[in-house]
Amino acid sequence: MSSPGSRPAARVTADEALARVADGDRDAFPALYDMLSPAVHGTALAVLRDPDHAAEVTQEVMVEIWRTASRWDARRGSARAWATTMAHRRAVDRVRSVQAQRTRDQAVLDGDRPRAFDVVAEQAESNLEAERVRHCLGGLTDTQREAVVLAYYDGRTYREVAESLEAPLPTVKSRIRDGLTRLRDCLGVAA
Amino acid sequence: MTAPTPRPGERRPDDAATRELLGAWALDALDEAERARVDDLIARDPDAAREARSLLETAAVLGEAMAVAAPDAVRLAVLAEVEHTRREDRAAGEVPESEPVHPAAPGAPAPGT
Repeated sequence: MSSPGSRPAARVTADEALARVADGDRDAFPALYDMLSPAVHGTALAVLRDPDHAAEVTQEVMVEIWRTASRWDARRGSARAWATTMAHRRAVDRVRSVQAQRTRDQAVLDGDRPRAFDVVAEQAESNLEAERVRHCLGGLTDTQREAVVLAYYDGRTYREVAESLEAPLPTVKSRIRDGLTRLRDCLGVAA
Repeated sequence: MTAPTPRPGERRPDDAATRELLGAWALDALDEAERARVDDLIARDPDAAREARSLLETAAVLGEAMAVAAPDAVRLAVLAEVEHTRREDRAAGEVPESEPVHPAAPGAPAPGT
């Protein structure tokens, strides 16, 4: 698909396009959409596992990016991270409201939805970033990885993670923080 | 539950415990009250804010790794919707410079149609 080394350039361009949109340049938006929407949609789909819900979240988030572009602060992170963060938050809100309607029957959930890590493996198969993430997730302890993956890709609270792993709350809190810190260092995200 | 207005440098007794929540905060894995506690800590403590940002960037990579094209219909819908969606101003106002303040001033030509 994309040539090796095209990603860093794309990252710079997404930042630039978002800055232009923030400056009022309407014409920059379609290109920005094309650069950001795959990460937004992929994040929503990973958490929601439902194409219709994922499409709705993608639409909401991309319009929100248009609307609030001037709030983005390049010093606080990349455009792609900003967009992805927004997508994750919205997807999680949706999972939780759907769960609330379903009276949060964990057994039903576990039966309905494939294990988070399998989904990571399948959906992300062909993507270089996914290769890095899989590699770095592999560097966590099993318990750290389980906690991080359940929280992020399944959209569970750390309390729910603790319940489903039958582990004490403080333990799960630390596993998530330590696991994410290790992941950060492996991925080379600036600390 | 209503926390006092956060002031930079100010400490609270449960700051160390709140800091333990940073990882779960970055993964959107907190309830509302806990999230508010972390947001309050971040507003007061630059070091915690730095850690929070780096963990949030890390979490975002977990999402980016899942990137997959959205349906074409979504692109069409978004591009149509932004045509009539106002952008927030830099000053956090609601009115961009390129659009009229009033939806349609009497007698004025419709903008951009």
